[in-house]
Amino acid sequence: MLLLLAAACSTGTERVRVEPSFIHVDLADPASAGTVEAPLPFSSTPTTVAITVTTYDVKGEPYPFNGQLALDVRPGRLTDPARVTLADGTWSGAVTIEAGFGPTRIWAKDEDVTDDRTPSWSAGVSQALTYATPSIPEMQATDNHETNQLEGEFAELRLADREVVVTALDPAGFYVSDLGAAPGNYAGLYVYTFSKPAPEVVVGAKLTSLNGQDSEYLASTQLNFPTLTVAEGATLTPPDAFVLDEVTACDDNAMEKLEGSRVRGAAVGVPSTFTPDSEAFADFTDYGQWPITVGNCTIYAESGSTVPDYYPPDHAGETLDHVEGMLKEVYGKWILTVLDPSDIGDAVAARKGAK
Amino acid sequence: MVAVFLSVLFGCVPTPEDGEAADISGQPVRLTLLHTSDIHSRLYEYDFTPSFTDNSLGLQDGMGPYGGLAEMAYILKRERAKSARTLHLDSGDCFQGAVVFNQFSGEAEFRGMSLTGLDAAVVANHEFDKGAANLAVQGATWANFDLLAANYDFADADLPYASELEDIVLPSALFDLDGLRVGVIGMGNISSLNSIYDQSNSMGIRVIEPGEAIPDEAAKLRGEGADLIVVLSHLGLETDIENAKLYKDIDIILGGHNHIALDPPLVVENEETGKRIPIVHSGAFAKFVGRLDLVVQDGEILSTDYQLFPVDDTVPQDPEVAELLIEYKEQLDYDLNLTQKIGYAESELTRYGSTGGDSMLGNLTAEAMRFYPGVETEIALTNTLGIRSDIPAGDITLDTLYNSMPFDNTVTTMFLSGREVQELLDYSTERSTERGCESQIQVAGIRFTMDCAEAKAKDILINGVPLEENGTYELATNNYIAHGGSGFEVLERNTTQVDTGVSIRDIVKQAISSAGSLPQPGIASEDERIKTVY
Repeated sequence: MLLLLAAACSTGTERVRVEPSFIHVDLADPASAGTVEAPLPFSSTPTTVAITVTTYDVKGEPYPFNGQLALDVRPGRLTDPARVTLADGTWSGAVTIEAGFGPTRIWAKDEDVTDDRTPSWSAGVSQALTYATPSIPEMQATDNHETNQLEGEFAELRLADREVVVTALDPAGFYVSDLGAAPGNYAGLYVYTFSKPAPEVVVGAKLTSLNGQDSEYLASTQLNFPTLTVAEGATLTPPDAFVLDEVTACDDNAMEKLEGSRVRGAAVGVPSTFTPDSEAFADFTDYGQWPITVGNCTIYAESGSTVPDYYPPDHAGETLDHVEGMLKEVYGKWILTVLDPSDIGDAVAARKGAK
Repeated sequence: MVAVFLSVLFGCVPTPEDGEAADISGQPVRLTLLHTSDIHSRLYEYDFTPSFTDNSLGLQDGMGPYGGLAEMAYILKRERAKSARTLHLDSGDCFQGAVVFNQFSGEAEFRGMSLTGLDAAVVANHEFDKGAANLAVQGATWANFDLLAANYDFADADLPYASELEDIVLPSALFDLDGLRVGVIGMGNISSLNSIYDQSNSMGIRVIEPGEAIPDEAAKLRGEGADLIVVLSHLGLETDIENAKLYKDIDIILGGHNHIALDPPLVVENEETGKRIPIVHSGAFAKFVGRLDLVVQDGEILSTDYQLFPVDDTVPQDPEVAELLIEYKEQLDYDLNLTQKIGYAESELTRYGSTGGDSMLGNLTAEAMRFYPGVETEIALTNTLGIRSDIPAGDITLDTLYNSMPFDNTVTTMFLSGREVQELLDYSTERSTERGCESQIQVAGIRFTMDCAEAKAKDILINGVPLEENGTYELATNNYIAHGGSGFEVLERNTTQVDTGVSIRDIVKQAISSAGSLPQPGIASEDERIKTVY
């Protein structure tokens, strides 16, 4: 047994202590760091924070370190500078960060150095900068429809001053909408639960908290592994479907603003070319997806598992009264996920030239 | 016990050579936790097609072979060298999942894990797959790390190995990392350890509820000077979240069991204190190594940072672990000729159906069971999770088959009434509904609609004929679910069971060999025998 002990404790290499043992990061103006009651606004654009970095030895005495330390911020992104050079154990200056939310701290780390020395691997962090957490629209608003402000972060969303309602369920998740955001303004979001959502998550339920991993699944924003709170006894009315027009359907950025929302295409066409020998038919057999046209733009409906008896090729060339569903993106392909048979309207007219 | 006692006193990451412990009082201190989980005997690199999620976590297509303990060891030692205060903690289930476990019963896993520098691992459900006695032997002989489980009490003194398990499986351990004292509490899995709950409780384990185990161990560790409390868990994410909310003593949870990687980790607030508790899961099958960096001051976690390292063909092998594993590999090749080709896959053969219903490997397996000489039943049913991985396109070797079907399950036959078949399929549909409408069973001789909207099996046909409530049907299934595994009570209570002793893996091997090339129409191809509606 003693032999085992020796083996167990020999796996870590015996170290020679390297200084600095401790790194302090101090805000130049701690009074402006924000508080839980009065947080700094969530900012998707860079903000500047002045800090001082100092180093200490193992006894807690100031250590006159001369060399580089790496900087970072958690959560959020540090845009500048990635490294700073300390002289006699200190550095003061401004760092630029963006997309911080909640308690956000600036890191100084003795690692990834470019100077020729062995790092101590020590690290220190600043006092927390307390930023507001973003609302659903704030999180999603970007110029790039394939990403969002917090992609890759564990997102903590601000719901307390918002009205957020569950709008639809599917077998592995649910959709929410922020009623305070105008239709078409990043109000909708899909929340992936992997399994059937909890019993209290029903259409119309009001959420008072919602956190989760922010990811872009095939270019659609979703929260994974969520933690959430449903307001007991409170219900809200989900918003009406956004009625799609040709201009919106043809504009990726406009469609991005509708992603995760209920969207209705009125008087949509099923292309007459959508036949079992067409190229688009493979997506129907594989994914239950089929093309529909809104004016001159083509988007898709997905109904294979939700309305399995509906066979779209039978309707090729027809104009349907409506097709409605939850909007998602698969790398530039916009898809309405149909949830109910009533979401697909009857044919109102055969298209010109249809068989 | 001596080892543990001394390790509690001195820890495994000693004070640096100058002998002077750091005074960390009032200082920000960086701690690095290296995390692995659910390695499932994937000690040797292997091929598969990474999923979209794998891709987004950094495991890219075309970068295989993937996994391997020697590769993990390389990353673990590299990262340990890049930190002043490090613990490597494993969330369990390093047993079961590849042929090395079937042949060597966990010896290679524990020896290899010891060489990676592992500090502690929680005892999880698959560690018991060859029995509690085997765990006791393998742990005592080969584990140079702490085995932890605060929620298992090996109370039945009549069992010959109870005292051994009591000695080697400890509730917790305390590590002194140059002045920072980290307490680690093990929480083993309960929900998947059927033998705890079946009437015989054949392993003699008394389960201690988290509400008792965690506060008690945390209080003990705090009393011994712990600055931080880490719960090393195999309870699954849902329970981890619940525990973080409920138990104020927890500072960090490192979890496993669900085979998921959380990058970044979740953060859950404790309901009583508001403390923000990171929950880390670092994947499975040796695909990833996780590294959690924390800055801690006076017992409070100020900030965290997490990295997930993919284990692909760009990662070199650690020579020490590689050398150890060669011995076992040579013996495996000698005993089983693992590289023998048993068939050819024209395309990847998947274990999950493309629409959540029947799958290529599920249909292959269920049909092979049903038609095997001497079995020959009307219908067959096996659990989807009994098939553990896809078979990649290309040559199908015995090694590939073991990776896909690692369990040593046999075929059990029994007679069911039509009413029981309905109950069986309803149960499966209900279970599937809770799992994203992904079928939890694979079948032969049966067609039905899995209606996840109503959690009900509908339109059931038995060999083309509607199910008759009062009819009698002979079923072939696997002995795991026949004994009630995964909650299949309708099978467990059946008194007509006959265990044929025929290995399901051998049956599938023969089916692949006979077919030669797969998929073919009607063999290893989806045909919507399980149709999903939601």
